[in-house]
Amino acid sequence: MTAWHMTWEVARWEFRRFLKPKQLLISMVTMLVTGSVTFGIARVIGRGRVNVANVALVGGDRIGLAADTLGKRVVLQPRTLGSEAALRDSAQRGDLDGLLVVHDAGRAELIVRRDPPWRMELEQALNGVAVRHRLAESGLEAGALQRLAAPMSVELTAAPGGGPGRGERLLTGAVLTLSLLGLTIGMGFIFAGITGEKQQRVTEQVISAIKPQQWIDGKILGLAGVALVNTLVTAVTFGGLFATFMLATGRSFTLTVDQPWLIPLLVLFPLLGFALWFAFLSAVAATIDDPHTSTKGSLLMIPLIPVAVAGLLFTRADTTIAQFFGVFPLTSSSVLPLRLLLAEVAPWEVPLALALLAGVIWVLRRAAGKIFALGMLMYGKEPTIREMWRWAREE
Amino acid sequence: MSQARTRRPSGEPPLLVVEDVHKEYGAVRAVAGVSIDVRDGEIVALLGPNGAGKTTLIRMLVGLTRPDRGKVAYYIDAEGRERSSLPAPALGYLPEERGLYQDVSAARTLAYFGRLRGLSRVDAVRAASEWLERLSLADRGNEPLKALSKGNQQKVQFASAVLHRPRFAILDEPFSGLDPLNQDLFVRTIRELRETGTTVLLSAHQMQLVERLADRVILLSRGREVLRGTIPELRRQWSVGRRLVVRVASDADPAGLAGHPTVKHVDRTAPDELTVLTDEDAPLGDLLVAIGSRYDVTSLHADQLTLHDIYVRSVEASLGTGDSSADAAPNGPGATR
Repeated sequence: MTAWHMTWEVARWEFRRFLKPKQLLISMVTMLVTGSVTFGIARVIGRGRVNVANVALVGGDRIGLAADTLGKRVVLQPRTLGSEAALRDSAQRGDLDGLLVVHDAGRAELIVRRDPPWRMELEQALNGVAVRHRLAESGLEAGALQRLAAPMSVELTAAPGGGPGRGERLLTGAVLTLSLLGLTIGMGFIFAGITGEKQQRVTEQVISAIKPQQWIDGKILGLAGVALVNTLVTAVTFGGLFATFMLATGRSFTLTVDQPWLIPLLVLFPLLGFALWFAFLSAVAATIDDPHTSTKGSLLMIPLIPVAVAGLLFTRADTTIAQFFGVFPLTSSSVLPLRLLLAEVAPWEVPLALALLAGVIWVLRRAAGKIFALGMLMYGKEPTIREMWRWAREE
Repeated sequence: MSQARTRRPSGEPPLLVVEDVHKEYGAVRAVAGVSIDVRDGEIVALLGPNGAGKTTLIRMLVGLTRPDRGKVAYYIDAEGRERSSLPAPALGYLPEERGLYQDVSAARTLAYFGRLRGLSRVDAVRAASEWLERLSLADRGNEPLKALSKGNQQKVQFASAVLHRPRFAILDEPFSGLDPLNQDLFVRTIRELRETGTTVLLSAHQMQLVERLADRVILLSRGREVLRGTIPELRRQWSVGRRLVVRVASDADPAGLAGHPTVKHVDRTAPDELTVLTDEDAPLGDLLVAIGSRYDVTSLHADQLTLHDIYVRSVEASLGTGDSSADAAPNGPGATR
């Protein structure tokens, strides 16, 4: 068999070993059920009856505040309920839900037994009354104030394909979310697949039959395939939940992308990112003797950095730093898709990013193969980072 | 073993030649200048106490590690071309450090290893099925390995190393953890492998099994070779003579044989037992007549030095422990100490 056949055989084995259709289906149904139940509960909570708090009011006349319903959850009671001191005692004991003492338009006092959940709502409503009171004092009408505070409306008229629309922004978010999802799912499978194999002591027999590079390539390919299937199933499930939500709330949603030719690149770059980081993770996992006690677990966070960088650049996609990270091979898999959708990308950026990323993948894959070859046969101790670096450079 | 062993031509070309191989781990000299050869069609046993360097040597032969010094050379093609390692289809390897994919069935595991060793998909599945049948596991082939007993898992592991009918099989401790029945099964299977063209190098601690199986023995101690040869050769090197154990119905008085010319020494080893020592190649006719005429014999057998005895004496001699008398030293040519 050729090297490629060997790699393919390992990939097929890993894929079949770790892809569990039944469990995947169960988790998909569980997610759908959990999501639907959560949505239903949220709807019930949203429509449910609100408990009204009875708050005694003192000094409301100082700002024109009447004993009435304030917001949705607070009913202000008139002072006739008793003296201020008696009301304070009642509020602190909890006999009353609260006592509101208004000193002037700039200061009020809320006496309660404990900080209530409706405080923010009361403060907002109270602020509105106070502002109206100040306006009345200054002689300005409420209508005039509304006109003054109204935001300026800017209508956008851009040439077709001239900039990111709602669709592009949503697609960017979807690409980054799926990248993150694929990376985390893939990390789990790579980690379990390699450390598990090492702990089961299968390595010597396998490595006597195939070259370590073929083995690691096959493992990356097979486990990346499992991660992709899991990611797609998760995405479809969440998509289903989203559609259900839109239908249930009577909303509509259409996703249009002005530049559909970008879509292959939006798929290619994250996939290359998976190849890069899965090679890195494979090498790290091969050097871990006991996953429960290993100190190398922190290295597993590194692959998440590019997605985090892309997230930070979401509103700055057209900056020079974004352009740099868009071609820098360790971040381009996440940042370039962002720029392709949200910014003007120079013609040289895509081929340069692609070439650099492919080159780094090749170098890292070879280095990972060397670390993997030695790491997989090392039991009882873990190599240091310095040793791993030396192995990676060895011919 | 004799049928196959008598077939073994000592003039067969070497399949494996190891020359002055050294391997150190830090300050530990795991293998220190070992030279061995394995000829086509042989079963060679690599013996030695724990830490003797057997597994280190085997890992170098498989190509998992490289020697610090020395040469490992294979010759498997008709042209006699030298190779530093064997291609995957030509090698079968049962490591000492073993394990299998516990969540996968035996049949799938075997088919996978068959594929890795170069079999086509159809052949790998067929070979897996044949080996499960041969190892009496046909009805459990679709169960995950974790459902099998340790012994049955070991059978699957063994099959995974040899199901592709390799040219050369290296079996590190194939018998460990097996019950006597399965040990016998493995002995038969290894012989069959040899009959169908597989040369075998194995390491083991079960001397009785090695004695039944191996054409030649190489004994390592502290990373060095201390003894090598066929088992009869080793017996000649180490034996001080033939020993006859005679059981009699009445009192075993040694005086009856004391003056016999064939007898080197006679001793009463039990009230009804005599142990008679003769030269290795002395004719026994007269002696047997004398024993028959002077004692009421209930049983008689010749007691040979076992491989276990040879192993213990050789290792003790190499370590400078145990009996250091002449009895513990080899007396034949070519003995290595």
